[in-house]
Order: sequence, then C-alpha cells, then structure tokens
Amino acid sequence: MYAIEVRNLWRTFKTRDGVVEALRDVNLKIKKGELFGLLGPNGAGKTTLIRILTTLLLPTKGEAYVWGYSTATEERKIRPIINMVSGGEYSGYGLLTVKENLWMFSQFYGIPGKVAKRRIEYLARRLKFEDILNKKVRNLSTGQRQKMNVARAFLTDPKVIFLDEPTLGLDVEVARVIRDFVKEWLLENDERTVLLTTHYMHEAEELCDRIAIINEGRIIALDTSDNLKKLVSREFSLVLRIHPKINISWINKIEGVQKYLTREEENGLRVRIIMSREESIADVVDGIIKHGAKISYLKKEEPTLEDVFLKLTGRGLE
Amino acid sequence: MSRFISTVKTAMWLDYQIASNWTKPLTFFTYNIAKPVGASLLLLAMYYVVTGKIVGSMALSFIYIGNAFYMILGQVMMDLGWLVHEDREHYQTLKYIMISPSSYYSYLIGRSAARFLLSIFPAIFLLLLGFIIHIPYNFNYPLLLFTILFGWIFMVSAGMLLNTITLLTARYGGSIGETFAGIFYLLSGVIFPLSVLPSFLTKFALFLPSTYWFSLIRRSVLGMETDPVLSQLSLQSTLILFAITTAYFITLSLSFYFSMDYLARRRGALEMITTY
Repeated sequence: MYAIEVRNLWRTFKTRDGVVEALRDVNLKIKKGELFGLLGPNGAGKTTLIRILTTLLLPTKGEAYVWGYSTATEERKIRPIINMVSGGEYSGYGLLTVKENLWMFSQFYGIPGKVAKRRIEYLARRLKFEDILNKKVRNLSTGQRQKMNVARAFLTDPKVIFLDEPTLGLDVEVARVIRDFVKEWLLENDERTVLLTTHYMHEAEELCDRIAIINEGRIIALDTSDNLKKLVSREFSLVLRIHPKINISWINKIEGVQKYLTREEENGLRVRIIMSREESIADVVDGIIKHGAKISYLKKEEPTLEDVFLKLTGRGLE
Repeated sequence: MSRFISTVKTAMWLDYQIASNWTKPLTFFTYNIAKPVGASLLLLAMYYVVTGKIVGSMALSFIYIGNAFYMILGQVMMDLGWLVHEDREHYQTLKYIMISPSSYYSYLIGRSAARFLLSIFPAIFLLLLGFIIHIPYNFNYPLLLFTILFGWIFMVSAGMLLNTITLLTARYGGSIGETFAGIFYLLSGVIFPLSVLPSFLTKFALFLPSTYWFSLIRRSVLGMETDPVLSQLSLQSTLILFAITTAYFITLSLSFYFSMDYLARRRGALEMITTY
C-alpha cells in the first residue's frame, strides 16, 4: 500500500472566463517514508492536488488515496492521520497566544492536555520559538507565525504531512530551521511521509527523495533529482546579465542553443540559456554586442532542476 | 465521544476568547449586558410613547418577556452568521479545522453554545428589571430550565442551518444571520401575537420550533400564554409540538450540513478567500 496514490486525476474549475483545467490526468504513487517533492511554477496545480489529498476538495474525475483511503469518500479515516502547512498566509487567531493557538488545535485531535503541553514545548524548542509561546499571534512576524503553523501541523504527529510552499516568503534562517526540522522528523519514524510542494528548486533538491515536475496541471517528469538532471546532462547553462534591455529572440537561431529564459532586472536582463555546444558561447556574446548591449556578468553553470524545467516546458519556475 | 466533548469545550473557550479578549472581563460583561438591555429599554420607550403608560398591562408583559428572551436567539443567530466567514477569510483557520478529525458540526455546537450562554446574562438582567415595571411573574422554574436547555438545542440546529448556508456564500453571512433572526422575530410571537399575522404566515409560524419556545417561555415566566392562537394549546401539547418541531429542525440542519459540506468540497469553497 502506498502512502499516497493518485490515479487519472482531473480537476476543473468553472470561472467566468470559461473552464480552467487545474489538474489533467495526474498519476502518482508515493511510498511510505518518502519525502516527495512537487515542483512547478505558480498556477501549475500543486495546491489543487494538495487540497484534494487533504480532503478539502473533490476531484472532477479520477481517484486519490491517502494511506489506502479514498479522499472523496473516506475523509473521516484520512483526517486523523494527516495534517498540512500552507505558506504565504496569515492563519491563526490573533487574539490568542501562540501556546493557546497550538493547544486549541491539539484539542480538535483529542490529544490529552498534558501530552499536548509536552509536545508544544518540544516543538517550540526544535523550531526555535520558545521565546514567543506567550506572545499574541497578532504581534508575530511572518517567520514566527509560520513556525507556529509548522508546529500546529506536526503537533498531531501525522503519518502523512502536506507542506504547501512552507518556506514561501520566509527569510533564509527561518526557512533553514524549517527544512532541518522536516528532515529530522522524517528520520524518527520509517513510515512518516511528506509531500512537499515548492517552486524553490534548491529546496526540492535538498529535501526530496523523488521529485515530480508539474506544469499546467500535468506531471511532465518524475524521478530523483539526479536522474532528472540527467535529462540535461549533455547540456550546460550560460547565465548572463546584459544591459540595456534588448530583444534576444535571435539567440534561438544560434546552433547549440536549446532554450532560453529572460528575467527583467533594473536597466537590463538576466538571461539563462541551455546550450549543447561550447563553441556557440562566442556567437552568443558577439550577437549581444552587435545588438548594442553590454555584458556585465557571464557564467557557465552545471545543469539544475530549473534547467530541466526550462527544457521540458520552455518557461522558468518563478 | 471524548473527542466530541473536547472539541465542543475548546470551541466554547475559543468563542468566549474571541468575544471577550479585546477588553477586561468586567468591561466585557458590562458591554454584554448593556447592549441588549439598551435595545429592550428602547422598546419600552416606544411602548410608552404609543400607550402613555409603562406598567401594568398584559400586552407589555407579552412584549417585554418575548423581547428579553429574543435577545438570546437573535444574538446567537447574528453572531453565527459571521462565524464561517471569519474562520475562513479573516483567521484563515477553517481548512485546518475541517481537516481535523473532529466534526465541524461539533465545533459549531461549541461556538454556538458559548454565544448562547453569554446571551443568557442579559435575559436574567432584564427579568430582574421586569420587577420595576411590575411584570406579573409567576415562575415555573423546572419548566423554565427545561425550556432554556431545549431552546439551546433548537438554536444550535438553527445555527447549523445558517452556517451550512454560509459555507457556500462569500459575502452575505451577516445578512443571512439577520434574515434568520428577523424571520424568528416576526413569526414566532416575540412581540406580535400570531393572530395579527396573515393566515398563511400563522400556519407557517406553527412549523417553527421558536414559536413554541417563546410560548413555553411565557408559560414558565408569566404562568400563562396570552397569544390568542397559542393559548388554545395545553402545556403538554406545546411541549410535544416543541419537541417535534425541534427534532425536524435538527434533521433538517444535519441533512443540510452534509449536503452543503459535499457541495463546498465540490466547489472548493472551504478555502475561499474573497477578501470581502
């Protein structure tokens, strides 16, 4: 039995502008004890999948199972063994203290008061927020609030935890504390399973046993980070910063250029090019100069998951 | 069962915190009593302007007692009207409560129980104030206690009905609560006897548990029923009709709850953030 199994899952939403297909024929099998990553840009369908797996949303077509139970019809069996954390939101009762908020949620899971108190103190120590336990939630910073929310989810000792962009918008230190905690938590029990969605490729690379790349509602690749990168193993990335902004669509005509991605920066462009011929670097540089721009930065890089994504979809993750 | 009790208790505690946490307990209790008492005094003032007297008539007793206990019903309905929206959009906790193993129904029971208990204090204060205007009390304490306790069950089921509707709506929570409260105010013999209503509304009113609840309140506080329609019923019949109508209200609210919960999951409304 898998911790999570998804079969031919579709989810559509009717909007004023028509029908949006958020998930299209998604298939997934996640083993018990696995830290599985779902990597994709905003709007790819990651959160929709989490909503279905956490029993908050019904699928339009197909089936989804958590711990062998159907998310559509056996939600009462799933809910005691799951929990979730969402990033980039401000959930919590502002008038209550952090400790009161956590205690309250523990009661919805029927955790005895003394056990809940012990777990709250333990999680506060592990996630480094002991100093704010008696602080009202309305006075917390974004990072402190997210630590509280992470503790809220882990407090119930779930078998499967869904982390939906848990480090979104957090500073480096807080994100590191959360990532370290998740890794350690998994090691404590063989069956604990994590489904992590993120659009931070380094987070997916650092944490996940396997990664599925999702784009426009479809899983377009699924493997370990190393194997995914093999998809672009014969290529390399060329990262450039040029100014002023120029149109670089001509780059596609250079032999060896597979895909490219641009991001506007102040007074210029950041360009990432997947290339297969080193000899073509000179052509790229010449072309930019001929088009009247200057290069302020140039680096050849080993392929990353972002390059995999770029190669597969022609677009960036952010 | 222990999880159910734990959830109800925690939800009651949460509701009290949300209602009172903005100030000191004494200030909160003063505010909690002053607001509904002020509304009742306004009603007395209107009665005085229209009739030129403030003490002694049965009509005044009818209105005064109906209004004093309506404060409980009205407060519960209006506060519950916002509950789903607050949890979903303001506190953004609804989804976390929903995915917990506790039934959301038990959470709502707890939240409405707290509002109900808080609303009893102003009613007691108004009963005491009634001595000043010579309300002819003839208390039947066991009946009053029974009526209040079973009234809570009816109000919880009405509150559930209200909340299950607001699960699917984005912005009309308060209005739906006020509509519910208004229907009960108009059709349950709170200050208007059923006999003054058009006959189809009188018939409709006889299907509402609140109609029999207010009748039982008057019987337990004044020792009699003065409404021309309801006074034709014996106490026993009123109790039976109250039990039957409450039972179907509970059935209705439970079936609504399960249907709306399904629809909300189908539409993705449990996490709807409209920033309204």
